[in-house]
Order: sequence, then structure tokens, then C-alpha cells
Amino acid sequence: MNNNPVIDLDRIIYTGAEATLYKGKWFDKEVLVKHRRPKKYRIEDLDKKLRRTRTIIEGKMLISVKKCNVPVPQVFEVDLNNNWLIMKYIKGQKLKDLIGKIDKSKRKWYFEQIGKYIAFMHKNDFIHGDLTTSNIIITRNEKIFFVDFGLSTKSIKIEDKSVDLHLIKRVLRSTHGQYFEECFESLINSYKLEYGSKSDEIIDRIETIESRGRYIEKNKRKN
Amino acid sequence: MVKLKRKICLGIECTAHTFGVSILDFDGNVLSIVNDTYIPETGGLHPREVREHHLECFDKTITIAIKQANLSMKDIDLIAFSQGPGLGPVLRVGALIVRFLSQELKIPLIGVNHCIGHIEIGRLKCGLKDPLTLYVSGGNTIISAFESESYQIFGETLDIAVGNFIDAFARDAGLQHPGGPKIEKLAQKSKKYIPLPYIVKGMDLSFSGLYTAVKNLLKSKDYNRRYNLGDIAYSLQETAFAMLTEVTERALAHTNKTEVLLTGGVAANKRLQEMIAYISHEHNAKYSVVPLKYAGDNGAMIGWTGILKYKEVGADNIKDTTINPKWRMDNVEIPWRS
Repeated sequence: MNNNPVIDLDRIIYTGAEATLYKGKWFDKEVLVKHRRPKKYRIEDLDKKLRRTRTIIEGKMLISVKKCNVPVPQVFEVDLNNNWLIMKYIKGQKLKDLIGKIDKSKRKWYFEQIGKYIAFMHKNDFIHGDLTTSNIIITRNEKIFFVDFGLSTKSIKIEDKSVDLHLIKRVLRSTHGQYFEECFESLINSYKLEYGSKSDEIIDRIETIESRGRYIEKNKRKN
Repeated sequence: MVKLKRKICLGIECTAHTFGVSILDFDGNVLSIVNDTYIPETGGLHPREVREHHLECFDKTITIAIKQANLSMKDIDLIAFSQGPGLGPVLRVGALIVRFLSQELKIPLIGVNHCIGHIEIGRLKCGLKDPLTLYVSGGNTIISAFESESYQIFGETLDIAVGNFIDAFARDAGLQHPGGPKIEKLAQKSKKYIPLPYIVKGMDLSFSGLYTAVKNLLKSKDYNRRYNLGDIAYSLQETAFAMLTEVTERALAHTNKTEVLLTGGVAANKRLQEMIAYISHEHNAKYSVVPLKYAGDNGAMIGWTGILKYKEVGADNIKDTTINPKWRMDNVEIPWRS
């Protein structure tokens, strides 16, 4: 299936819900190739459109947010014939798998860093769109990398920034319940610190978004 | 030798258009299941009319269910009812009926969460231990799994439920309630895809924009010229179900569960079943869809959840049986699984 002359696919290193990650060689560099697989459950028209637009968006976004000092893998090539995104290879593990194995002070430090980086994105009107602990990679020398920008957008709206924070909040609560409070508090505090006073409105809105959810008791609803 | 008398539960579902009654024993054998569903002649569900319907049919429905189980009212050891979430006036009628029965006949009463009922009957009937559940109906669109002591919500609709969306569109197109099965039939006749808004935010979904888009297709001058109702039905199903499947797959990858359960009224749709089965296979997870008679709202799911809860913590005090129309499932303690 490889019709790209400058790349050699070596082996599959991870199969996610949406994409398969290959390790490979691009010219003589070690790279990661993210391939958005065709999804046979949906019709071809829709499948082609979704895979193509998301590959383009992710490539563009990775380049844009890197300029705002958000740690993301460097993009080498966006290959739209194959729906491949060719990036720097980063070795590490998902924050999701690490979170329970580290001590409290380390967790605090990581979530402060994460809050700061999300503020970097939001200050520049970049919305990640799928912030979860599966989409944050930690390397062996404790560097943080944000990945999976396929659902990201550019927006100046408070609402969109709040939804971003709401998503990570919910993942923390549902998947890492026992660490939820400490982690989210560290994240929000450093987000606030980095973003400045304008962040108040964004943070306040999180509660409004939650209260809009189905089946929230009336007395908890705002307005 | 004295044969131990088996214990019997009367389950009553009363949250929306279905007044459902079921008799089951404490081992989960369903002895009878009877539904009386309100079908409006025009329009959607009006809570007041649904309430009137349930008030008229409840005694007959309960009597039939008990008769079909070859039992009498004095054989009942427990009454379980749906305490929420649902339509307020309808829940109130249900609570009124069960409180009366409980106090008059001195039978313990227990209230259960309707959404959890769907998951528990699915676990029972499909023999599942710990599934990721896609629960899709007229009132709910939820992707849930058991984590840290309760049924956590990993994704849900940010506005209207998928069944509500399909029914509302069907109504706009002049089809009678419930519109889902009619839309499914129409969709099978078409292969023409009209691009529609596809909205997924993380693991959450939004259907309101999709609803506006399909409604506008009905009003367009191209309607019945370039495309017909079948084409819209096809495109609508393909888009909405692809969204549901995508978030289910993402949740499956995130939670690493090895079982997938499809439940709720919309679970009866063959196309959705096909899509969810496909991704389950791809992730080596066991795929199950709840048998049709347990897919929509029914008394058995309420009765069974009531039994599970009763075995752990006993019956509810009458003062704790107030209804809760906005009861979220992730707030409910699940003592029988911890």
C-alpha cells in the first residue's frame, strides 16, 4: 500500500480507535506515521471526507501550536494520498497509564505543566477538541507532549475554550476519580496564572456547560 | 421436605410513553412482561396525555402481568419502580401507584434509576460481566462503563437524544410516532448520500445541528426533485449512527473493556447494530444487543435492578421514594458491583 517513495514503514507500534501508528524511516530520519484507517462501518463518501479533513487539520494545527510553545511532535509531511501524517518519533507512555504510578507531588507538577500549555493554546485561540489523558504523552525524561489534534479548531469563543477544559475535567473524573480533585485543581490554578484575568470567564463557563448536560438537578442549574 | 418459596418481584416502569409491568423471581427469571405504550395520534408525547394514558391502563396492565405469571398479588415480595429520570408528571403517577400498592399490601418498595435498569437487564440477558454500554433511546444518548464504583458517563449528547432527533424529523416529514422504525424502512430503499453536519466533541455528540439540516432539506425546493424522503432518511441514519459508532469506538479504546452492549429503543435499528458489531469485532470485544423485548422501556429492567439493590441494601423508606426527573446515572451508588 506504500506509494510514498521517501518513506519506509517499519512496524505497527500502536492501534488506536481512529488511527494506526507505524514506526518508519522518512529519508534517514526515524519517524512516526499516523495512518487514519478507512472505517468500513461508515459509507465511503463520509469516511473519505472525515479522514482527509482531519489529517489536514491535525497537520496544520501541530505546526501552529508548536509556534506558541506547546510541546507537540514536529510534523515532517502530510501525505494526503495515503492519509498519513509523518511526525517526529517520540517514545513515551500515555499519561493515563502513568497517573497512578507516580507520587502526589509529581502529579501536581505534571498537571501544572499541562494547565500552562493549555493556556498557551487558548491564549492563541487554538482549541484541542479532544483533551484526554490518553492524548498526553510523557517521555522517560519527563517531557510532556500533546498529541491527537484531529478534532481541533481555531476559535476566539469563550464557549469553545471552556468545552476543552470540560472535556479534560470529565475524563479525570470518570477515569481517574481518586486523583480528580488534586489534578484538576493544579491544572486550573496554573491555567489561570498563565492566562491571566481573562481566564475567569472561561473557567466560570465550565459550570454552565456542565449544568446544561441532561439530567442535572434544577437547583444546580445556573440562571 | 419443605420447598423454599422463591421470592417474587413486581417491576414497574413509568418514565415516558411506556407503562411497563413485569413479574420476575429473585434469580432473574422473567415470568411475565406486559407493556402498554401510549401512541399519540398526532405530534409527540405530551406529558399530561401520557399521564392520563398510564392512569387509565395501570390496573389492567398489572392484573394481566400477574395472571400471565400464574400468581396473585399476595405472592409479591418486592415492588421496584422507576424513580427517574423521565417526564415529571409521568414519574409522579408511577410513584403514586407503587406507594399505594406498597402501603396497602405491606410490600417493601424500592426505587431504581431507569438508565441503570437498561444496563442491568442487558448484563443479565446477554450474560455480560462488565460491558461498555451504548444506550440510545428517545430520551437518552449515553456511552457508559463501570469505573470507580459507579456507572460513569464517558460520552453523551450535548443537546437532544438521538431517538428524539429521529422521531422529531419523522414527525416533520408527516410520519406517525414512533418514527424510528419508519425512517429505518425508508433508509433501506436509498443509497444516495446527502452531506450533513457531523458533530463529535471528544466523546460527546450533538444532534441539534443535524436536525436543523434535515428539516431544511424537507423545505428545500429540491425536495422530491433531486432527492426524496428515503434519501434524507438514509443520509440521516448514516451520519448519526457513524457519529455514535465513532464515539463508542473511542470509548472502547479508552476504557479497554472487552464487552460491548447496545441497548435502548434505538438499539432495534439494524443498521446501528451492524455498525456497533463491526467496531466490536475490530477491537476483539464481545458484541451484544439486548433482545428486542428488553431493548425498549420495560418493567423487567426495573424489577431486576430493584432485586440487585434490595439484596444489598434492603428496601427504601417511603420518604426516600420521591421522584427525580433529572437523576444522573453517574450519581448512583452501585453496591451490588463493588
